[in-house]
Amino acid sequence: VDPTAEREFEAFVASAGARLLRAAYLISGNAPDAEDLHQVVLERVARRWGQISGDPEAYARVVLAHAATDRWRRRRARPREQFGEVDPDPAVGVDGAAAVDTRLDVVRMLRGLPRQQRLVLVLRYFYDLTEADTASELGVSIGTIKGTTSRALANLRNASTDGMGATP
Amino acid sequence: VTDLEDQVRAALRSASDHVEMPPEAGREAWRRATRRDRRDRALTIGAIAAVAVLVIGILAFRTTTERAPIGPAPSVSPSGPSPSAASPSASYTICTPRPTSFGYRIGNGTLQPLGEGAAVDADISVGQTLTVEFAGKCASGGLLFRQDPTDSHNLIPVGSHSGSGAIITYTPQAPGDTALALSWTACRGWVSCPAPTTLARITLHTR
Repeated sequence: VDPTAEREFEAFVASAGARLLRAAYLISGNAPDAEDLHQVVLERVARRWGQISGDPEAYARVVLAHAATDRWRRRRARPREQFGEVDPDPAVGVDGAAAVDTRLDVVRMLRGLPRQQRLVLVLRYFYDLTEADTASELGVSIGTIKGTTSRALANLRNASTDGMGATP
Repeated sequence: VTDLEDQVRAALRSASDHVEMPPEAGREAWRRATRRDRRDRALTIGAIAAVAVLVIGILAFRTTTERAPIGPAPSVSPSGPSPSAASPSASYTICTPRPTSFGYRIGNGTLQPLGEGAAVDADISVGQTLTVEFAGKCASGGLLFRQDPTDSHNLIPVGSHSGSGAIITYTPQAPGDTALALSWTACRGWVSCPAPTTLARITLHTR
């Protein structure tokens, strides 16, 4: 065990871990899945820590995308209870109710999107990545990212007009 | 950048801003990664060790079984009678703990086993055919020789086979086609001798 590497990794988690967990939440749509995903990603990053070249957060995002995709594939044959209701935040009081409603709407609309669209939206607008960086991290062409983003935004627009419109 | 994009950006951030990371997440992940690394390393070392043991075992086994001689000398029975014009078929049984070969004397219409490693010095008449049918799962080799007419000490192989149950027909074509040897190759791993096995049924045909 390399104590320096461990300290560096913990510093990385302290600076980027929360953002990663939020992205995992937006991608998975609920807190338990997000926490599982987050732990999987952190563990994989930790195991490769000494070999990561470049920005570790970028590497973590790639791992997150792959882990989320793996999870979706594994769950394809399973019942879809994991895509049930969005969990409300028990810590929010009455004053925060409107904010929670808004948040739940956003998460519901996100979960109504096809998975790839959800992933692209999170990378493009939560992480503010360029189309080129998003394409590079997902291993697809820029054209694919442009098309997926455009369809995702159109779906979101329709969903916000119709209430909860699109289906996953 | 469209208004919608800005709205999405803001919505994504506000939708996730309540999510808090546990303070020990990094340490916990590092601990799990270390544990998993150790386990994977142990599994890899275990797998390599298992394969190494297996390979060494196989090599040792092969070396043991291919090393000759091992165990007692082979026995052949019966020593007679041999096939003859009057009684053209005879079966020989053999019990051998190791690869070996046997020489046979052929002369006057008879064939007699000479024993292991014996010189082959015999005569079979032109016009006669000798059929050697190997039997038994471990009878897996055979060689036939012809004595070189210009050098009686030189044996020219004229046929061979491998595989059990194969049949070799030996038909002398000229005076001097006199020698026959049967090679017996024990099965790999066949180091014990639980029961005699029929080496071959040797039949002499008179044309």
